Amino acid sequence: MDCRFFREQIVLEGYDELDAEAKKSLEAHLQTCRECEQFQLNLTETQQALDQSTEVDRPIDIAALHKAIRPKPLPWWSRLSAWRWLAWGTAVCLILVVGLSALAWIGVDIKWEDRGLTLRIGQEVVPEITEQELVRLLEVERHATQAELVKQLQGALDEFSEQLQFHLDERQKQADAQLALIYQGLQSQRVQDLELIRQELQHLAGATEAEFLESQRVLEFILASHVSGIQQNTK
Amino acid sequence: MEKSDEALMHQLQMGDLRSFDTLVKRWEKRLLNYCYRMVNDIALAEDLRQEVFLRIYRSAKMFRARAKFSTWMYRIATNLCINTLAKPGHWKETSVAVYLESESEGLDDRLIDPSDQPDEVVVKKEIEDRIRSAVACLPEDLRVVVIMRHYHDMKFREIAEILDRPTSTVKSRMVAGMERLSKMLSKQE
Ligand SMILES: [Zn+2]
Repeated sequence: MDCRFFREQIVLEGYDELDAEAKKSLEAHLQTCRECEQFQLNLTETQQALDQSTEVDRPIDIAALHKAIRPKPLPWWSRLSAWRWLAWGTAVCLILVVGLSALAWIGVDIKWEDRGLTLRIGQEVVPEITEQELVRLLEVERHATQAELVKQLQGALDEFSEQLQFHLDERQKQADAQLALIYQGLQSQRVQDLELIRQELQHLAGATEAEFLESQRVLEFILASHVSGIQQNTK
Repeated sequence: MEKSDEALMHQLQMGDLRSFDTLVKRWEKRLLNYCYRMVNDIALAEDLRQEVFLRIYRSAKMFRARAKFSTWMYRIATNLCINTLAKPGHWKETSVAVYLESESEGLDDRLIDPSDQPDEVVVKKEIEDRIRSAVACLPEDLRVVVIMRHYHDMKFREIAEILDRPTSTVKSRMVAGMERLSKMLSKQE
């Protein structure tokens, strides 16, 4: 046999992965081959050298890791379902109307309240607003600069967005709770049939088609591993 | 009794975050050392370790019950290290350069300079650095095998499984790797 083969055997021997028979044949070769004998010597030296490099120990920052694994919330706009888009769109349109018609405007407060957008001028609340009324209002106050106007509109927009986010978060919580219930059901082995879970999932608030499909895939997987777990336990 | 890695993964799949923490605690040191030897940069290694754990967490659902956790983990880590090293403008050039600069001197010449009389700690640190650099200078395919076999005590069969290569390939890479290291680490005549 050639030396190439024995080099490999020497390495295997050096790492204790050689059986007794192979050891014998290696020893026989080493007695006749100086090159391989030298190789073995070098290997041992190299192993010893490598051993001089010790391990380092730096504990991981588990808090940072936890922070990183927390799923990033979806951007608020991707969680908007159709009707929310409608509400949002309407609000934006309204604000745009205000923005476009107004070159100068101050003292008018736009607020997102329980029912929707309202305009407030001093103490007076204007529940609904027509374009004509707007123009009239704006005629009254035409001292604001464009920057002030933009700032005010931006403020109203931010507030609106914040309100919306709050409602979405609430809804997300409900969805999480529902999902937790499903998981619990799975864990306590009260596994209903998959179709039921699918129905449950379909009701999950705010899920897009893609999210729904993904959740379904996850649930199927969990269910499958759960079933295999049961099978193993009953063996 | 201590739970197996695979049992912990199963619990993680069920949403139990504590089992993930247990896995992290169990593997953090070995994983750090693996990445460190692969990339020869401790700060980068720490980042990579974090990323490996993140990937484990995020793809926990993909983990198959029959697979061995460590095999899966080392596969993720290996791919991540190699991909990171492949990024342009990486440390690789510098670390190789540092090694090559010092290569003309033998290990002993470099370390034992009587005029200096460096204390033991410094010598130890230099030997340590030199060995790390030598390992890091190996081509990736040899380096992975040497690190796994020598420092992580994995059998050749196991390494073959992680790398998805025949055991014979792994063995011949180990031979080549050790030959190169032997040349690099021995005093040059
Ligand atoms: Zn020979």
